[in-house]
Amino acid sequence: MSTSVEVNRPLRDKGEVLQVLKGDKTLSAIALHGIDIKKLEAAALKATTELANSVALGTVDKALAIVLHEELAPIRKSAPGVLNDVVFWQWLALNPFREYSLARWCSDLPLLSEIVEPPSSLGRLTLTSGSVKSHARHSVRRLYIYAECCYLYDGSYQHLGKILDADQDIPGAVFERRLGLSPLLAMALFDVASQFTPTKKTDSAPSISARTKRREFFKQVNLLGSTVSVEFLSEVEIVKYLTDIAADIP
Amino acid sequence: MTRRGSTPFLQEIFKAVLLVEVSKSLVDDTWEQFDLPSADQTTWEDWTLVADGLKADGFLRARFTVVSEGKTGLEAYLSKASNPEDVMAFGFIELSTHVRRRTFHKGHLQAASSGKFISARATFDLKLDDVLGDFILEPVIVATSDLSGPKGHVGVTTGTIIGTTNIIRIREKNPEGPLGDIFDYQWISFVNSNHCAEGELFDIDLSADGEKPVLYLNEDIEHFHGIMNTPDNKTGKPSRKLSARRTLDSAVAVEVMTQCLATVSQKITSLAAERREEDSEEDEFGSIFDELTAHEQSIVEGWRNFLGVTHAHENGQSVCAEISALSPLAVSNHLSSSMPRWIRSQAEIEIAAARIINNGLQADESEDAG
Repeated sequence: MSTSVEVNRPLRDKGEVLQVLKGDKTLSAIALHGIDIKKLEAAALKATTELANSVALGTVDKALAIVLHEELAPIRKSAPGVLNDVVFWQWLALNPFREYSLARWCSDLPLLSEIVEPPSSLGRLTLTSGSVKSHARHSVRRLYIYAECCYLYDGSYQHLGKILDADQDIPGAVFERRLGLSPLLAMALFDVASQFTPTKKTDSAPSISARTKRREFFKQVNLLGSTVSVEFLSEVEIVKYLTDIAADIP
Repeated sequence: MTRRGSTPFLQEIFKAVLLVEVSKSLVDDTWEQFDLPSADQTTWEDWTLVADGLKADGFLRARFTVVSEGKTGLEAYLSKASNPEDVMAFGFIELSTHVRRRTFHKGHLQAASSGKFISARATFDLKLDDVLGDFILEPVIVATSDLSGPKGHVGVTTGTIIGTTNIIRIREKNPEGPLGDIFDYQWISFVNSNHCAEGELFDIDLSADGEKPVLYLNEDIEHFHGIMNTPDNKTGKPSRKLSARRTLDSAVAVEVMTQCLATVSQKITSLAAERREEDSEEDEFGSIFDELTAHEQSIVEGWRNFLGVTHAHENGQSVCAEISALSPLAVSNHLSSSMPRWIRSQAEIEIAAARIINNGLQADESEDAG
């Protein structure tokens, strides 16, 4: 006899995600607003298989992000509020994308029956409404955000590789902050931040990693954003600000 | 190292008024004026509107016009008889973390009174169905080229915000407000409850599933329910029971606020510690606000000037940044001392307590006389 409880509200934390995975809780079915769920399930299954076959993460995520963004087009048109609904994304992550989400983010998980304290990686399957950081870290929502950013930038997905093949520091710094809310700014940041290279140790100075330089760069960009309206600037002006900042990083 | 967009010498909070118009049509140009409290004043408070309330009255669109006439304080950037639009622009920064938008909408600037003043005007039309979560419009004046300040002072680079005024905050639902708006109230028996401590006056559930956190009140405490349900007509001399109710109102409010604010400040400091653990150089903590639950955000926003060490916070982000930057000792001192004192002073709890003690003394005296 099943003892599971049906949930139709946002999951509170990774502990509740674990309860869903263990079958103690189930998520209520959602209105699909014309999306082809079979196509999404097939794409997620293909991605899971590719992950098992050690295909590059960026390649797997890129293909899945495009299918996801294209298949959610009817919702964008007829019910955009659904895309703001935390329950919708948690359902996607824990139903059609369950195996993908676990393979992508929780591959080192022990047997579910052995887990007592839910690991932090399960936080990738839950969301906080309105939190840019939480949305940018969610296993499925992040793919949609990346694809949407590229699509709004130039109407195509040709720049997705820039995001998904970059050092993980960069999407984190851009999309887990409000910098990623502007496609123009986000793309310029990827262009400039991906150009940092490490500096070798010399007799007078220690080595500096590209990651350390990028962190300093993003710190300066955030300072810039506190006094400059980047929303007002043209793409050329944004790129000039960013390249000037990058040129000052030792 | 050059600090681009350095804080300008002349950065003004200029005075402006907001005109709100609403329409029941998506196409016709027929608008009616909507009276928003304090729309004619520039203060630290946001201009706040709730989309669901307007939609319930049949409105489909809202139009926001911000007008500033008179001295903005930025006139020193202009040379005589120059057109302000040659060097600066007025408009709205549109920001929504829910629908992921961050854009600029340009308005108009012009010289007034023969160049003595700058007048500014910008209009923004909004479909109310497009409001999901919070939607913010910040009216700003920005430099459109590198500007020199008055002689001997630092200039600014293109895009620097040189003037700002009240923020317009449009909420999908759930208005922030005093205690009465923040909670759902439930009278329950704490003896029969498995989550409330017997003997306590109240308990708070910040993780409640509904639109608001729940404030449980203990119906087992003798006379508590009766006193709290005493009608308060707010006129004439209050009865002893009403005095007791008002005092209890204040006392419970202070305790509830102190407990809620202590809980959220601990959450903020713990999230800040996690961030420092991930990146020891992390110094941007305002976005911690976005990581809080909706209920916690509502408390941080609604009571930001009680939660903060300083009392002029524009929004929840700024108070999160301030709390995160404090040392553990400073947080502890703030929670145990200055914050409760500040809350009590605002809630006039000491005055209320004195009143009920006086009532008690008068009762004793009359009984002695009898």
